[in-house]
Amino acid sequence: MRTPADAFIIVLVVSNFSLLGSSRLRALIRIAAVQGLVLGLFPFITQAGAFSAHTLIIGFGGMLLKGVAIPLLLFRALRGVEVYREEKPHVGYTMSIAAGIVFTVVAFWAGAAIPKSALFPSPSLVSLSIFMAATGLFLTIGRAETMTQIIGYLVLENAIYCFGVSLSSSQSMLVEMGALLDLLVGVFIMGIVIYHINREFDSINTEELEVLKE
Amino acid sequence: MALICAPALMGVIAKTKAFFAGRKGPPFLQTYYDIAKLLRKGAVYSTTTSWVFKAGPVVCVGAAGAACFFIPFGTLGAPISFTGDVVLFMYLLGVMRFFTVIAALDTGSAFEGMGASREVFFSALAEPVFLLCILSLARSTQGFRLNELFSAAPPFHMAPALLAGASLFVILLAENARIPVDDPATHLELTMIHEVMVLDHSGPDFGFITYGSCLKLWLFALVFVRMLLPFHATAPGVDVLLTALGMGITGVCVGTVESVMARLRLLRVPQLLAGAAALAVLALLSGEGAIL
Amino acid sequence: MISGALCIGSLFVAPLLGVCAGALPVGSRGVLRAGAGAAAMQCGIVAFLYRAAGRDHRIFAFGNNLFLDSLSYYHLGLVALVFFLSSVYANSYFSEEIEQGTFGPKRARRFGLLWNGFFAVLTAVLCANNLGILWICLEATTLISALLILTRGNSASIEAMWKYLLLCSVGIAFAFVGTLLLSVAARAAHVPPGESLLWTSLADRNGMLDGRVMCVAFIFILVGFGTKAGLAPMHTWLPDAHSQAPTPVSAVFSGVMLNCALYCIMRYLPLCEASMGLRGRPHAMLVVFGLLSIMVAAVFIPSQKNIKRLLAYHSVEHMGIIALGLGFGGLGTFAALFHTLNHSVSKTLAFFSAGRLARHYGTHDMAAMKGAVGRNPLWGPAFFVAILALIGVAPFSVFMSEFQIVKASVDGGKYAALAVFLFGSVVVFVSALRHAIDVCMGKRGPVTEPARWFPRDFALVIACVGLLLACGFHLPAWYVDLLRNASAIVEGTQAVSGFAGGLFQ
Repeated sequence: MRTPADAFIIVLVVSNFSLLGSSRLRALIRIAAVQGLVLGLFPFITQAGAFSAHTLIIGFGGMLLKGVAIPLLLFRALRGVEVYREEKPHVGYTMSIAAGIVFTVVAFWAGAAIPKSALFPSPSLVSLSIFMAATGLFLTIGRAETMTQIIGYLVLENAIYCFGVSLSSSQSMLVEMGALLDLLVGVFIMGIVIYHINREFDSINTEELEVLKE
Repeated sequence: MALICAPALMGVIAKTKAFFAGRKGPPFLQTYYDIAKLLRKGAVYSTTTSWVFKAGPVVCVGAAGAACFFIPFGTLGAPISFTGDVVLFMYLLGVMRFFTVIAALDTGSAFEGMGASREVFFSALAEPVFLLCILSLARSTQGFRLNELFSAAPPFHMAPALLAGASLFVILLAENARIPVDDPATHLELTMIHEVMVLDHSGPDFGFITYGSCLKLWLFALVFVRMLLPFHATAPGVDVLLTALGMGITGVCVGTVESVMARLRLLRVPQLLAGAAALAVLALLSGEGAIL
Repeated sequence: MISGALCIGSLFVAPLLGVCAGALPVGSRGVLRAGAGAAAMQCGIVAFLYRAAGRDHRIFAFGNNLFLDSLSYYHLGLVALVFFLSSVYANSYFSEEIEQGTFGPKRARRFGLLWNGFFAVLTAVLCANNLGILWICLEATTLISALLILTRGNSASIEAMWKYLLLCSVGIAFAFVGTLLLSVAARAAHVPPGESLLWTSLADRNGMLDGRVMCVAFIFILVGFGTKAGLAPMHTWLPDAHSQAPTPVSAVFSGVMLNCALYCIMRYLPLCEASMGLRGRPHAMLVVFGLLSIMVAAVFIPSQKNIKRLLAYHSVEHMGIIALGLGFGGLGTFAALFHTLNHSVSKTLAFFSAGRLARHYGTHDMAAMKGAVGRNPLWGPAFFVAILALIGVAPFSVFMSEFQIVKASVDGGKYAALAVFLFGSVVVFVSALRHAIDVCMGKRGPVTEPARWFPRDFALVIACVGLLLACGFHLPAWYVDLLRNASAIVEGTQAVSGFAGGLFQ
């Protein structure tokens, strides 16, 4: 383990595995919140010493949004919903963890293939983003409950955030905050949808949404 | 030394569980008394069994005892050591399990068969994970003998050690039929995995089986402790003491887990083992010289 | 000399006025009328800006983060036109619901807020020079339009909204990765950090961006924005969203939102093309997606039963044709841009008639709608004409633009692509015509409501049909000029004013 960043990478990878293996909806939200908090710490780690106002705002803003605001929105959305676990996912839980292992291997192999250049200063973070993106997509596609699909989308956004951080770019603050805000509004609207779906169908399982076919 | 101290570990576990339950618990050396008592008794054999049934317990103890010769304790080297002996170690444990299983099948009873199938299923998942953990250790020490793996002084990396240690702990629980995989104190045959396989053994046979499982637990705990504490102290005695202390702590941990958790549903055990596999893979990837 | 900020700011006045009207306590009709008025005002403002903008037609504002050039003007004009038509139509469409009381002031205000908000955000997409702002605004369009789909809160529309929201959010996330990769390449090419996402600075530094990074970035961009544009195989949200949204919203989706997503791809195209050594790889990718969309549409159109889903799959096909034209380049780009106008107007007309016919017959099922020409003398023939226009019957303008694309492919020697394109188009031609004949001719089917129309409906139909015919015959010089400049921007070459070659001399 060469840098403190590696510790964070391991924590995030383990959190991804727990997302893949967990079936309780509220636990999923908590794990995603923890991921958001840890990711918010990333800009402080990768740019150690160069604490510009930009880094501070992105870091704290990210932690606040991903770790606090969005999980709160999601918990509120689940308030009226009587579902606690995902009973019948499209892909079973053991299979999900096995798929996660495959993603890990592929992601880190891909990251090792990227030469460490000025463009990509930390290939291990790139591997982590690939793995998290794969996890997020897997959760969105392979699960049937609406809430799990939203969590998958959040993990995908986390992966992209991680990728952005790994590029150690002094990205325009406007763009980063705009992206985070978009995410917040998106989750807010998804919460509204969950309310409507629950009210209409009495469950939030997307298997119920099958009126519109070919 | 293992041959003598192994049952003591069981005592530690029993004491811990009793502590959590608020009782005083059986005496520390109870397992010794149990084995001695069993050895004095007579054995009863069913008419449906064959020589396999009689051979099972003997092979168990034999294999476990043989495995003890390969694993070092602290910095005391193992009596026998050659390249690749880790594979022999695993296979000896496998032979032990195999003979337990076929002895159980030999009785022709439904309960034993059920327990045998469950045991084999879980071990099919657990053995590769064990191998992965050993591999991650081997990667960091660059050696492939148990002696080297455990006696060398590799640079200590926290992350792979923790991950492999966590994975190994789960494997320890799974292979030795402890909660959350199997409840050693249950009396309902339908919920048993390991106990039901040895249900029909009696007298000295059962004594041998008990002793064999004590040895197996001892061996796994030894691997676990060495995984987490692979450093040297200057005085050789300190190392031995530290390892012994580690074993004790392991016993306390196992007892704690047994007291705090309930047994998992059988459906969930593969998920648990898959999680352990994931941790082992991560340990492998994050070890020295690896990709991370 | 008017300042750039004032010019670009003026573009937002009209939609924001509409949003404010949505917040005021006016009645339902008032909200809808305000929307139409705002759109009309916007048309005027765009035209005025274009005239007043000077020789190279570029305006910058807000530290070069916003700007307008010919491509933006063209699309802004298109957005304003379609919004105007749809807002006028919304007045007729919701009139029955207003009378029945199901479209009360509260719902109308919410609709007005979302409608005009959508208008404003689409305008922002078209004004963005900073590609990050472009992305943010396109994501915002997804969010606002998702709420618009939910106007009628029944179970099918909830399902459509969910699929749309999730799929487009994931797609746009991919597009963000592409944007990040672009900024990486920009920094590697030593673009100053404040300008690393500005389109104008990147376009000026043609060829200095790292080719491999831009290749990967373009793939992400194409998949990401292509999801929003309805290119196959990411189009699966399209039929559901278009069929479940209220008709004015569907018209705006098809006519404008898909075009804006393609606009984003058009912005990235010259950057990627230049950095990859002008070997045509991005163009090839566009051709592949375009052909795939056309074929998917050709497969699904014959079996459609719902009239709006039919039109939605038609949109997939036309987006494929536009992508194909962009992929061919040269005359193809010109034709693709021309096609955006034709498709928008004809698809808008088609959706209008489909909506009214569905209201008239009480169902969206085409099997129940028969003899529309007889039952509804205004909207029945309008539907038939719209379908004719959409499938490319001469002398409507769609035929002209498709013909130009064919010519572009022949000029470029891309015969395989041409063959697939023609095959797909013929299949769509035949099946859509068959659907149209089923709906319009034949024995009159049962209706649930008497046909009713307003004078503005007549005006709408005549305006649309007139526009389609006029563009088919003759394009005014200023329009050709605008198109030439816009296509030069997409091609990455310098604009040359004057007449276009080819058909329109």
